[in-house]
Amino acid sequence: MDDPFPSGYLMGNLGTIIWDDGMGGRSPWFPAAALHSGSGLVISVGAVSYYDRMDNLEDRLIYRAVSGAGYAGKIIKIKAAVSQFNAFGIFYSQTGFLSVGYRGFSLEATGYRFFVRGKEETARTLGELGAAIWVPFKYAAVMFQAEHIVLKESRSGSDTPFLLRGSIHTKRNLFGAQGVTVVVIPSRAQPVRFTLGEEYRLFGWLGIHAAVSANPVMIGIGVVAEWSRAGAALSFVSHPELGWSKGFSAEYRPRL
Amino acid sequence: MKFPGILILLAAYVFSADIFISEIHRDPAGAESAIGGGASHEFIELINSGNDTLFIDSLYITDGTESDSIVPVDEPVSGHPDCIVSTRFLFPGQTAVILDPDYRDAVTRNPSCRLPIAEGSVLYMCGDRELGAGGLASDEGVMLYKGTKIVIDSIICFASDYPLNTDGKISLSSPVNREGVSLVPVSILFDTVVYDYCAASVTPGRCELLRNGWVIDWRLREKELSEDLVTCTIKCRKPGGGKESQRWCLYCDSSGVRKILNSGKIVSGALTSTLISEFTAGNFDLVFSMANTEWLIDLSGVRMSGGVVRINELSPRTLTGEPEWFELVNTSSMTVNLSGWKFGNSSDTAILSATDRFLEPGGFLVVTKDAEALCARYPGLKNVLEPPVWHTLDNYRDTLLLTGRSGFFCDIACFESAWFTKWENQSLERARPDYDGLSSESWNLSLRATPGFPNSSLFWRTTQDPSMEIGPIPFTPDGDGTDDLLAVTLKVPSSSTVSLSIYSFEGRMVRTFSGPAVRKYLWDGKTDNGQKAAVGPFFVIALIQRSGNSVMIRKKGVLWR
Repeated sequence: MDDPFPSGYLMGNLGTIIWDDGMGGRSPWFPAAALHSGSGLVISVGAVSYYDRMDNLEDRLIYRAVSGAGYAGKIIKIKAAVSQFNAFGIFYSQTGFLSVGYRGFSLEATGYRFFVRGKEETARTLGELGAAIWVPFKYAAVMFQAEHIVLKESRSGSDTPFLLRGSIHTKRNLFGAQGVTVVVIPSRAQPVRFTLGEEYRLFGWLGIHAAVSANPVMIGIGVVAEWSRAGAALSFVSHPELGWSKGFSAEYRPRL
Repeated sequence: MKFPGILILLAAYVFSADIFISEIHRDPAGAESAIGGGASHEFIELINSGNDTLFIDSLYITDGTESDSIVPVDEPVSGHPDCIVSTRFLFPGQTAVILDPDYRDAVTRNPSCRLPIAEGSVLYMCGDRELGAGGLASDEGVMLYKGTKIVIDSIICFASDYPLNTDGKISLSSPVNREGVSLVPVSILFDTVVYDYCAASVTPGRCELLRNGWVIDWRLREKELSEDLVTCTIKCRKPGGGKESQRWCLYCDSSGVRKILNSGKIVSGALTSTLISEFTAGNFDLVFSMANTEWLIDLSGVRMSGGVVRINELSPRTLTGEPEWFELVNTSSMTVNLSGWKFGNSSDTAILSATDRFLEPGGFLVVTKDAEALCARYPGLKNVLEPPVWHTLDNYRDTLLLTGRSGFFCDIACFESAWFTKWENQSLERARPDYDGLSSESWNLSLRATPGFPNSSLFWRTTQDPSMEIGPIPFTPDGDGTDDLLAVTLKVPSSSTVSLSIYSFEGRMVRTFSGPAVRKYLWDGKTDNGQKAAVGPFFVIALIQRSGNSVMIRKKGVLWR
């Protein structure tokens, strides 16, 4: 089971706006490779409510709560995050994420536990690896990721298929910041997903962003506010059939 | 295990006439719940109306696709101290309630889900699984039989309104299910057991048909339309029998003045007694009295003029070798004699039948150009009429008129090919019996022709407000025989088209169902490419379009394996 879009600040821009000293790069649930060297400690929390309420089980939501922390020294970077996913009180998923980076390269380990209420004895566990390379240039950075390389699973049949992601993320410029990602899932009949995003700063501390993706078609919008050591983002993603998802995230960077 | 549909058809001839399903509760009140043990439970009530004891050894229950044994509840159930447990017998006159196997544990944990079972009821339960193997669907009937899980030795009773079903499922679609309200028979002593809503919502252990120990059932028939002569057939039965003699009386009550029409004595030991009386219809109430109890006989159906016989299905375009045909249904509560009735259009009419031809209440009659050829095409077809002269139906645009013996207008069926897309050789089904038959909304292309039986779309295309139900939640397509298929059940207005898609949590469309809309879709948990869909939440989206308007229904579920 893969998320339709990233959580937290990256939700409204569908993962396209990542600059290594910006909120996207600091998200603890994103690879450490994209964390700005020497940026210190960051703590983040986030929550997402997925899609509309639909026409059954109306009072039960699908949501994810995520929290984590990251630290970047001059060379070594490390991030860790945990999340809890609840689909209308019937299906649950718990995820642990650890990313260790060296300069612009990082390795990610992710552990999942899925279960259905009342059938806990049939819970599935899954351990995966991933890798990311962050290559910054003068005006933009290029990132390559491989995700969902299954190490061990309690039952065969991985539900998180292996994927490759390539992306370009510009630095902040006159027109804001832009990003393009291409995701390829080889096991899928329609394996490619394109996403295009833009963020524009209305003021130095307040920005708006938007993104659009194909396969599946989604439109994301969001507002981000950053102060000296804190930041918050409010995000919305629309799917033509499934409706609106709502998300919130906040981060704090304590002085060490 | 699947029972072939034809086997169920045979049930009409061999089932026991003494045991009846006197209540069936399929859709308990309460929120849709995926929690095992649940807060609400289905049940089936039986009554032994005969003189012999029923032994439940080798007794099985089936919905036509799965079967399960019936076993006694072996220990007292919390809250039901006066119910009978640990017995394998159902004595004459006794009532039994068949429960889900988890009912006893559920009421122990949660007394609020206790059913109001009458004192003295015998409690049985399914041996392995819930009634209907995972719960009875809202259109599902059941059958009780003696035998094994895979062999039927004899059929004890069934609750069904559509005995012949090609997919083996036993259906009970009429009346449409209401949450929290069970169905009880309103008529059991004539050929067809007819079900209706239980006035008190649920009454497990109490048979509504029993009054002072007697079951009374009646039919009315106008003898001659012009003379207002009515024949009243009354059937009486005393479950548990006995040899006592009872006086009965049929009288008319006009403003409190009673006039005896007929009277006599019957012996209750004779299983079913049949009394026939004849009277001239008038402005009075008809009352049957016996054993210090009175039954008011509804005369409202007697005076119906014309219109009681409707053209329910017609097939002007047929496959090679299949003759043209149309189907009539009697929508009234009285038997109609079709002798002298005519069909055709304004320029050409033909006699339906020159001799007496009776159509029972709720009965179907198939009128065709060649009865032998039609029966060869549809084996098991009964009640077929071949008129002396056939009026040929136009394949593209026609009007079929049905007129009574004295020439009164009875029904009309208008159709033209422009109303339908992809009309090849499907039959046309009346969307609802009360539609006028003149407009495109009155007719649907059938999924499969059903001469002599209710229409394939009758029950799911009779609503103005479309609805969709999905289940089970969670759905577990792991091949263990339990909850392996997701059932998506639709009710849509006539002349609708349906596009059904399943989306993964990721937002991708993983499965689409195309082709003519059907009442029930089944999903095996695989994508359009045959790959297993991911575990987790998924979404079922139905887009229902009709006359340029569209309605989207979205439901969510969980896939787990």
